[in-house]
Amino acid sequence: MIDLAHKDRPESGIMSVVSTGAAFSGGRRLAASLQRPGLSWWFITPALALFVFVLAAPMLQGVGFAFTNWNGLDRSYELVGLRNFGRIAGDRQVISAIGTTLILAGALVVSKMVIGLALALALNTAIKTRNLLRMIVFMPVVLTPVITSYVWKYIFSTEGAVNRIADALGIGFLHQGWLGNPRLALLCVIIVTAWQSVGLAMVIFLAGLQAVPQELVEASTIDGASGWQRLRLIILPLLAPAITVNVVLALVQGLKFFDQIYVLTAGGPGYATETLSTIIYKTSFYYGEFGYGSAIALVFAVIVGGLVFGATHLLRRREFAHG
Amino acid sequence: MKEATRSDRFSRRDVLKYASIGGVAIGAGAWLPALPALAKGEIRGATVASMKDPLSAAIEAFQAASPGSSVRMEFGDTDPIVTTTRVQLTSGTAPDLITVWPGGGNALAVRQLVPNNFLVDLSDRPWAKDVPHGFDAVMMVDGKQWFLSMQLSMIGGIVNMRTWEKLGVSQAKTWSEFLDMCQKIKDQGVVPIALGNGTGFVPQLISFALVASNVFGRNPAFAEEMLEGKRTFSDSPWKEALEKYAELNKRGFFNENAQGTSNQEQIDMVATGKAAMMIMVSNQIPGVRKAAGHDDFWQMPIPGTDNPDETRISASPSSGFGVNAAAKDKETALAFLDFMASPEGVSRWANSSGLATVLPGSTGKFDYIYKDMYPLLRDGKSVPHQDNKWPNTRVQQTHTAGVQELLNGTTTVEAVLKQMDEAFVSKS
Repeated sequence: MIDLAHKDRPESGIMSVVSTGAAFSGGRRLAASLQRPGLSWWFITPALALFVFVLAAPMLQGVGFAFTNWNGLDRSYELVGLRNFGRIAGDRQVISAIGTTLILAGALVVSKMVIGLALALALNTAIKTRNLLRMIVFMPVVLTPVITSYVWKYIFSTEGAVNRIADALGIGFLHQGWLGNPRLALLCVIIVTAWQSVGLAMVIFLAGLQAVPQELVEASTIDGASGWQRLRLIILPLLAPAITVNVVLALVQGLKFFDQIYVLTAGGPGYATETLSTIIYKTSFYYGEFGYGSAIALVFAVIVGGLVFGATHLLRRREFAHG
Repeated sequence: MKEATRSDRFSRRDVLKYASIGGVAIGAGAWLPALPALAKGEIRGATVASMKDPLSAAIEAFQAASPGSSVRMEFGDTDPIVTTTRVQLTSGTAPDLITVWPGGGNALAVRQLVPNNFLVDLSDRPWAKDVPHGFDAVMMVDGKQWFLSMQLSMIGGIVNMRTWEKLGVSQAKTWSEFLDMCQKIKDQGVVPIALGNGTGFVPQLISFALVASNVFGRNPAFAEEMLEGKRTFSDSPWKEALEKYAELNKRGFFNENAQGTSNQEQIDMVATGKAAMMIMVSNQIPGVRKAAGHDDFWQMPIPGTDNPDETRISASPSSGFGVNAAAKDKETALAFLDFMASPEGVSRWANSSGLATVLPGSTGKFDYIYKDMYPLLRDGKSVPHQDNKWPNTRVQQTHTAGVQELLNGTTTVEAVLKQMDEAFVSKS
């Protein structure tokens, strides 16, 4: 028996669910008590407490450490004001790492957009093996990054698959130290991170492509539009929300990569693949400069936040422009 | 109730009999070697994977000798052990046995841990007096012993004897002879020196081997002078040592892609005879023996100068075990350390690891490997690994990255030394 009282309060989803059971005694009283002001806070308190103790408090504590000289071991530390931030400005390794981080993030965004979209378009057709191919492309996403990175490390080694294939194909001039060469090491890292992430981009694009009205595509084909024109003028504008999601995810992912870099090169050779993530790890936990490491992490968070906010804002405007 | 009969009661003769047996037993006990006190608790620890074999043997023997006791040990690479234990110490969740490094150049080095009261003083343990005083500078803090190091880490050329015999070259006593020797090996199509600089700890080892002779062979007080601010890397023979390192690279004495080669690949090259040697810590010898499937190896000193009298080796106690000051069962942890440090424990360690031990007592099964290293140790011609006396960990990382860049040709010796000087005086 449905309580018709909910008609007066159509905005209340909880109430309608609760009222559905109003056949039992006291149902109305319960419904009324749930309307008491402040009661909803009791429902969110467990989640809020978890959020505060697991996320918010440690984050704020980390922000506080950025203004200290704590070494991660001492029970005491001193407040040093903005000295850690001043040091960042003159730290060549950190400045270089910011550049490398941005290159890595940019390359990941581009590769995910281009390769992810190309794969999605290719696998959005009626070929019989499309589901199998989709699964194969998506598989790296669910594999553990550390394990796959060790495999790639072997593939890029002197006697690894890349050099062996180059030798076998008679292009031995490509036989070289991929991870030991400062000019190639970052490229290798980009290849590995892109390989592991394009599957997710493909799935998001595939979902977007399902929503593209086929009648529009067919109509434009009848009107004589070329494949490129269909892609540029119909499909891409309708994929705008998927592009926004992919760009933001790729940006966040590219900025905070750690596992793959640490396993493949540990930031080397020299400082060639050192990113902000690896610098923060080494500074805090290896050099024992927890305060300084926290300051770099804070700067890192501001960079990530700024870029993500900027990208989201820009892409949202583009979405609205395309209706 | 049954009344006690004569046979149920002790007669004077029985008392005398049992008393004499007891007396003999006590007397005999006085002549037996003192055994470490064993405990029955459960302790846990975490240490580097390279110690797994000898440590597992020690744990098995300890648990057998002390029924009811349990030692749970986790093994991992150096970096995770250092960073995880460091965090655990500050959060109060560190294991009972902590891996401790000598000196102060590591986040878990004894000089970093003791000022924060993380370790139990081990000075009164029965083995503490047997630790050679030559290591006091890197093992003791405030005149006290804080950790037990079981094995020695010596840097030298680890040579596969079977490859060496085929090559027909003789051991070099000077730097010039060493270069000639490498050239002869190279001319026969064998890589003279396998180098795995793709693994973090490897790039520094050739520097340390050369600096031992170039710097300390001429000025034994160099490390102390640096700490007092009287010397710098840039104005020292460190420059000569790094130039010699670069010369080895320039003359093609390393394997191709040395900067991208891993330590395991380096080991495999020596084990299979693709390379004649690797300049490496002795701790890696068991791994090479295992990879090769035979024990025909030898470690030779690397001459850093053209004066054989200046030849020194870099040798330090390896990382060892300290007892967490917050350990729940200190008694068992201490008993386990005492058990490992007993003469039987030291022999067991030497035989299962195949390494030279810090404490005396080794049976010498693998002494032939170190026949050219021991005389230098005995004659005081060894210096601690450089990072043991560096004031912070940033110097080591700067040196490692600098060597990689130097060998890749993207920096100069002067620039590397300048960065190391900056790192040396940085606060951490």
